[in-house]
Amino acid sequence: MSETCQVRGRFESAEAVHHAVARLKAAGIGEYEMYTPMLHHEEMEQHMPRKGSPVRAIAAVGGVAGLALAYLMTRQSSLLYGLITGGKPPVALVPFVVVMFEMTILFAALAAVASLVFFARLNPFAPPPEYDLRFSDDRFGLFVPCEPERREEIAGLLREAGAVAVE
Amino acid sequence: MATETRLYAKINEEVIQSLSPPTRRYWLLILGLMAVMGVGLVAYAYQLLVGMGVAGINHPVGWGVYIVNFVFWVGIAHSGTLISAVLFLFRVRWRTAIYRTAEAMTVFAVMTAGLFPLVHLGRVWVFYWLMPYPNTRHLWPNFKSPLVWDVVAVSTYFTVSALFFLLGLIPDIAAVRDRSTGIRRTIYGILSLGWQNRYEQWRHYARAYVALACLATPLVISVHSVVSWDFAMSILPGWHTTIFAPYFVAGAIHSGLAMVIAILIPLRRWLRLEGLVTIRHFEGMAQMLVFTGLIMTYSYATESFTAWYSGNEFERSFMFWRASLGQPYGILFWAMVLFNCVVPMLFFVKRLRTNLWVLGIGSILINVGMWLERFVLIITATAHDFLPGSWGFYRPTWVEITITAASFAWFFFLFLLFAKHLPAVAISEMKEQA
Repeated sequence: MSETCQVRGRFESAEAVHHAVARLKAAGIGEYEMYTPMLHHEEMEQHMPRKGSPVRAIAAVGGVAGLALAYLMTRQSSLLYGLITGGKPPVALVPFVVVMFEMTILFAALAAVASLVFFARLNPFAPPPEYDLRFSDDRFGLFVPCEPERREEIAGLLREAGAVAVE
Repeated sequence: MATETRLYAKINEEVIQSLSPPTRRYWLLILGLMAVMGVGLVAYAYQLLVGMGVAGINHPVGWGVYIVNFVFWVGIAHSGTLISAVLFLFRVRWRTAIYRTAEAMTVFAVMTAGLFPLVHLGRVWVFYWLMPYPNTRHLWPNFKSPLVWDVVAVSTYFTVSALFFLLGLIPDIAAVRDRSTGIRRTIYGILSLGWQNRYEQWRHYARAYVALACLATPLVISVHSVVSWDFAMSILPGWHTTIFAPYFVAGAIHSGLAMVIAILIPLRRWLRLEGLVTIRHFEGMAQMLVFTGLIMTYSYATESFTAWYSGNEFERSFMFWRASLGQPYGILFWAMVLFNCVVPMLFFVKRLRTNLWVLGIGSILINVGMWLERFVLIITATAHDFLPGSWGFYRPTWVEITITAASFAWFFFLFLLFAKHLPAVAISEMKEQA
């Protein structure tokens, strides 16, 4: 694709976006971006080429890292200051479980948020979004990158599916 | 379809209008709270300069109102995560309109709670000794101590609650950004982390939100359990009991719910959110108060019964002393029972729990009761231990009372700032349910 353009459709409901996506797919177009003011998770996911998210897996890895770090921290600091307290040996696993539990949760949460920032490409200093401001209010959007010669065809598809505005 | 769209726009409109420039009364209130905080700071400076002797804590009562406040505020923090995470996982629909306020309350309550161990420390400038790091003193924190568990638990709870709160805010701040201009737009743009409502973002967001809810849920249980072990791990009569962890967790949720109600009633009127936060939401919370009130009643009964049935003479005599009206803390004990056990039972009656005046006053009384509970639990055990020769009496001094009042001012100050600068109702989730 030497030169590309983008057709932007604005819709009043998620259902209309789904109709439009179905028409795009029937016309052999698989690349598009949907915008929604709220999470229409299950309905929208069925139309997307990519499903699921690695966020939870990364959170689990973060949790395991936190657990390991907590074990090392409690064990090593107790060995460095090996005083018998509470009648327990320096390395006493049961009291350390509390610290290990808390640090598992802490690191899992930090990993979940960090992976969200990474995968959702969140950037506080990104330039203001070029999208329709009503996508955070009451409108849904469907942006379709295309070759200039298919522009009219795609715009027609979006209108037929119920787009209230197409640019 | 058109109805749905109108509803989405209406939700946006109603929430964002609550962020309109504040009135003079708002600023007067802010100034009043700052004045109370200022007096609290003076009292704290006095304590730092003169020493811990200006506080009422002394032999045998080494843990006074500062620790009472710490436990109280950590408890207040609990219902935020309960409403936002636990009720989210159970798909309780009425939580949506109120969870943002509850989450904000959680974060601000932990911020308030975190001040008190520092105030209680005395030599606050060496607080970093609690952190494990290689140092020239060759000292390391004792991870077998419940006090160190507490540091880890409360700081984890604060971090995870704050992350959960901020994560939920991202799409809503973006909605505010899109309706703002000038410097407000820039600030909200930064706070929204450049959120664009792309489906790709929602896809990861949904997973992260569920993951955080799952992670925050065990924290609700663990944090106040760990706080309770500060006491239960000792061998003092009145503290050394296995019921403390569930008892503290139930009490925390009880007080937190009451605080959410007490704050939401004026807030919804002030921000004109009556269309979104309805009587149904208050009724749901009042029913939960009845439930937690019953748990509290059961806990008080079990604690007293165990002390009596154990046959342990120290436990028995301590329990009778604490509850006896002729003794110094007896009146506080029975006030605690009245406010925490009897008052919530009023909400069994539908007409009472749907009357916001009754609900509001009841919730404030429950909060007074929960503060008294912490006072009775913490103070009495050290004031009346095994040996009659070491019995004593504790009364907070003006320094402690002033710092306590300042902590309430600090909490409400943060809350007022939140209410006028961030969406107090979850816009995107409300739209989902429209």
